[in-house]
Amino acid sequence: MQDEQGLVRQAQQGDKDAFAELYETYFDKIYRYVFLKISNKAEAEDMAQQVFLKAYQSIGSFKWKGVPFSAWLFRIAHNQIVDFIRKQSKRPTVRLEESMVSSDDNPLRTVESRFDIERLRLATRQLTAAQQEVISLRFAGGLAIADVARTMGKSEGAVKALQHSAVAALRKVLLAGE
Amino acid sequence: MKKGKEFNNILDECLERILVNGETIEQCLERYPEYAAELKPLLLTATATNEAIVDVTPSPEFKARARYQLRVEMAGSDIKKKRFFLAWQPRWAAVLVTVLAVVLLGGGTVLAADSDNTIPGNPLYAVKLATENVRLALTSSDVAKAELYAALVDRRTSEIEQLMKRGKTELAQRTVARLKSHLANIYSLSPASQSTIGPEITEKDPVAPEESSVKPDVAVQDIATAVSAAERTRLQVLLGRYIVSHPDEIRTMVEEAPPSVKLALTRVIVASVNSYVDSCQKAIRESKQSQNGEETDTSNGASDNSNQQPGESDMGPGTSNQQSGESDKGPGTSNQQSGTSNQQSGASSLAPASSVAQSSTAR
Repeated sequence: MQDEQGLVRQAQQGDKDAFAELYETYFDKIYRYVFLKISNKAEAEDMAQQVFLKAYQSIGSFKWKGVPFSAWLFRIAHNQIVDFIRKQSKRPTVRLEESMVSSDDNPLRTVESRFDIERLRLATRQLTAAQQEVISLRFAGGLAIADVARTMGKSEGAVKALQHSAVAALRKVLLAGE
Repeated sequence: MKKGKEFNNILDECLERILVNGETIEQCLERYPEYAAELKPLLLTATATNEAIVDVTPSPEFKARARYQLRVEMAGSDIKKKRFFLAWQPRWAAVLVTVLAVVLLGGGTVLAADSDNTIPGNPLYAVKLATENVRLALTSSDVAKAELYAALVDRRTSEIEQLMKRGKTELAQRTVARLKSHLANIYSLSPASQSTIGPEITEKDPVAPEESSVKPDVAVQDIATAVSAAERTRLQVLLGRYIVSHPDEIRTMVEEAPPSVKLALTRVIVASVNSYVDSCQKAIRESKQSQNGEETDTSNGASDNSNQQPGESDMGPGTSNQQSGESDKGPGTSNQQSGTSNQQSGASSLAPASSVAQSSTAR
């Protein structure tokens, strides 16, 4: 596989195979990112597809300014999600009971056993918006911390701190929900 | 503070080693024994999170369709000239899809895929959806588009029924999502949604007069706007028909709407239903007049054998196929046709809302 910068340049010059390669590289990641944020599989699929159609139409305007292509893609996805939520008038989010987010951090209980995506999604709803974004980009998007920082427009130090607090909060919510 | 920063760095380094390099949690803990107690629970949660997310993948059926659509989009557009050709891209793509589909798959395959028997789970379903997208791309007017979305709503309903009969609930749920998307598209195409739920009616203006959204059309009375107004009326009637036919969807939409648009949304619904009811009443009147005329003509022995059917000239729904004895049916009765005499370009090659609506009567 060629380097990403080369692929993007070729895609900008109209090389469809280059864009197809970028698509194959990032489609699943974008899909997971969207899926974690909205509660509908079909919508997530359609939205991920829209992200790439939009990216293809706009790739001519993409410029390398220290922001990787992946960050640009996730930014498009983020905007699509915001538009979707606005248009759909956003269904009420499922709130866990207050008791479920209490600090009952029983050390005997663990979350190392696998849990399903629905439980994870409900748990992430309890995090702050910034924590949710870090979890989405880092785990669903598979971005390195430096790219998460560029995508979010924050310093790496700030994102590392957010990652720490997000994982800790997630653990607390998951433990409380068991 | 410094310790916290150091711990954040260590946590991230461990995550990178585990998620990217495939190290185990134990290996990481051995590197930082002084932080092991604090690191372990966080790494367990992070890896479990990662495993749960990585398991999520789009369905193979969708991926095949998505790749196909992307190729079509790329084949029909040119990045360098995208601004100039932007408006033409969907049409070229649509034509290309049609040609490719016929050449590669054969017309018979496309026709087979594009039938009510092809439901989610069928290998040809992706072709069916692609064919629908072609139709949408080839449809230019908002009215024709709304009618096509209406037809697609009926298609999805039929698919959901078939899927539920076969116990395929997950596929049915995904089809419901598609159906909702079509309804939202019908709604977004409606003039009411574009003009009434606009900046002019907000929380700051909760008692804006109902006519406010119509005034600009009255102010600019040229031919173009007259045509546009006629289209808007048809759209409003069409929207009204769907509001009446899908009360649960509409109720949910209103309930979930943010407070700022709830009032405006309610007005749109009321106005659209009124337009629809008016069109039904008009159709009934014309149908009765026509029947009376025929009876009179027949009794006088002066029938001119006109080919015109009752209500044929009217564009409103519930008109052209309204038969004697059916006029007492309520709004939303599926035997009503929508705008058949005024079919827009692009819609003629499609299964119009009316024909699918008729098929839904049989269900």
